[in-house]
Amino acid sequence: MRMVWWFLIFFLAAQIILVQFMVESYLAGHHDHLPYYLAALGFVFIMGVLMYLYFREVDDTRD
Amino acid sequence: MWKKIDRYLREQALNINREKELEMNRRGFIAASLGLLGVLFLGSFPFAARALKPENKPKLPAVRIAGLDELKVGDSRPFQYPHDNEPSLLIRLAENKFRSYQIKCTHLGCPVYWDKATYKMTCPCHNGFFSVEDGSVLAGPPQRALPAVELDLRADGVYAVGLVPVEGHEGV
Repeated sequence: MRMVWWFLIFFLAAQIILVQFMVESYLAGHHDHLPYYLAALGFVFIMGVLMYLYFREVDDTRD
Repeated sequence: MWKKIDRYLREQALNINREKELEMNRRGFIAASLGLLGVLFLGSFPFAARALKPENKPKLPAVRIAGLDELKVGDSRPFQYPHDNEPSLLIRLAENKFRSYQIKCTHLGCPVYWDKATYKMTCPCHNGFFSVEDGSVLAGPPQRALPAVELDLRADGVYAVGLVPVEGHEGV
């Protein structure tokens, strides 16, 4: 779980940057870019969930 | 009621319950950050929904610029479209080939003219050159293309019917 902590921090940073870009796009009126940001946010979230599950498995096995 | 409040305040002020301290371990923290990722993801849905909403841009009027036989091949005619302060130019390149652009130079707003000899749209102020085919910049200080006017060839003449959206001209 120590490893996944660092990954999670990385994902959080990426997610926050993506949200910031998305808000900027929205305010600039580039509405056609927004679904791509949504997809990127979803991808990061799903990767986070998968990694959490994987490392939990590893942890439980080690215990 | 008062007992409850008292207990709550005691718990907050004198947090000596060791079991509770263990609640927020590394795994809990990671699960919480995962929750935050999910919240950020779900929070972006309203923004994305905005992309699906159709934009209702005001429809521009159709304005007759010139008759089909009024303009010789290679000639141009100035007109205003869609407003009086938006000078535009209609250019006849071939028998059935017309091009039209708003002629405020995208550099500093000087009026661009059609130079038949060089086959380019030219800005006299700072030597900006635009392609007459699509309004793109060929040379000079301008960074963006000239906004094109959408044309419609009808039986009684050439009509301006709208503006072609250009990358970087979203406001137009």
